[in-house]
Amino acid sequence: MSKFSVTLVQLVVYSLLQLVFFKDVTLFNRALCFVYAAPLLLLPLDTKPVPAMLIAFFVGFTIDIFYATGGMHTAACVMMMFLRPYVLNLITPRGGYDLSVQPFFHIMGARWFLIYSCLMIAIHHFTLFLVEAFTFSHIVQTLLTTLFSTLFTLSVILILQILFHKN
Amino acid sequence: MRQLLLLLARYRNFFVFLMLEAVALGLVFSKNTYQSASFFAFTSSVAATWNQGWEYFRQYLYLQKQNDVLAEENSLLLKRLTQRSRYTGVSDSLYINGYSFIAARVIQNSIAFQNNFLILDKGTDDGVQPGMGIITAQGVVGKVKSCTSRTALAYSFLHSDLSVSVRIKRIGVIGTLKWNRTNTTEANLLYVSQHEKVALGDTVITAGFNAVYPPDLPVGIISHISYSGATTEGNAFLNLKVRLFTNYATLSHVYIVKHPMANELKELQKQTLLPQAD
Repeated sequence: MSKFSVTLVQLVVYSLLQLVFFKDVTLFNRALCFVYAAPLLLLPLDTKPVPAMLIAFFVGFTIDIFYATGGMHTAACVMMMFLRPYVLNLITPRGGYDLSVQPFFHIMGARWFLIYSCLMIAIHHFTLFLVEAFTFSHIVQTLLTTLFSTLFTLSVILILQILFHKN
Repeated sequence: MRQLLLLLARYRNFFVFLMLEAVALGLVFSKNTYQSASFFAFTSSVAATWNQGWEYFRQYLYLQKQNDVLAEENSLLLKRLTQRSRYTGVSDSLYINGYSFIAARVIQNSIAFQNNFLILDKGTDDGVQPGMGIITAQGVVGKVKSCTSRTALAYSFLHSDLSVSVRIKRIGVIGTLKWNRTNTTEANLLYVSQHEKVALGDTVITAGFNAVYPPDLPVGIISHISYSGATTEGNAFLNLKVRLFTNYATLSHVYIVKHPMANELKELQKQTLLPQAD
């Protein structure tokens, strides 16, 4: 299978998982899981920012339609993909990247993957909850929700990686 | 011109980013203006079918629990019916122009955001109009924001814009109930003066001023009282917290409240400068 179709399958599967199951899950009345962001994290490292942002736009828009949330998820996904090159630069491993691969847990190593996905998911969730609250006056609430949701989403993504993406 | 094109090409990532974000935020705001339901109407034809189908499947998992809730509600209604029956035969405008209720199901619900919304499976075809209240037997659920022919988008009570006029049952004092954004089981009771003799455990009921929610519906009980200087324009108010009866995480069957005079009352209230609460 070509790289493109692999990504497409991942996008469809993770979106379905989000809409069928994780849409109804809220932990401690506080933490939400947005696992549909995982295939965006896992886009091949040589994906150019403009196509990446366009993909993010369509994924976010689809999720927004089913959540009836206007453009909140779209804004968060586009923001995440815009900042991805900077995040990647920030945590370049010794010897640089192998640009042709998808940054899976078992390829990139646990430490790199944890830092990378934690930063990216935090960006996504913070944008999402900030646009949702649309005020800085309740920033503590926004930050708490972001923190708990990031931990939740990160754990789910890690579990799915270890279970299903292992060679 | 060449310089401009070069500049655009050089920072194309940033410009594409700005453009996409502008579109996304535009969608957020076109949806959030009170009257505009166009985006919701467009997307709901796709999403409502999906959500509704999925929700109907999911509800089989909770049938037993729902039966219990409905049976409890039935017994309450029977009790009220027997109390009311002695008035039968009296043609009082109170009963003719009274409240009627449209039973609806929640097909989408959120509680973790700071502004939460519900989607219900009844729309204008069933007589639902924007501005109608939504209740269960356990209290206030929310208020309809916009409708399509088959579905309605509603503010949850867990929304920062929604406030409800309530009354403390034992002493008859009125106040405004507003969610405090932190805890889905708790709300703040505002504008109760410090000289009122409020006690812990007092029941809070709806006041029913706007005909959005019916009067005397129990909403919660007072769980916290403090005098710590909540002052507004020189008036000292009590700092009250109310534990809500409704469990917003498990909403399923709700009633949309219909009142023939709701619009007239709303028009009248627009002429005053009082804080707006339903």
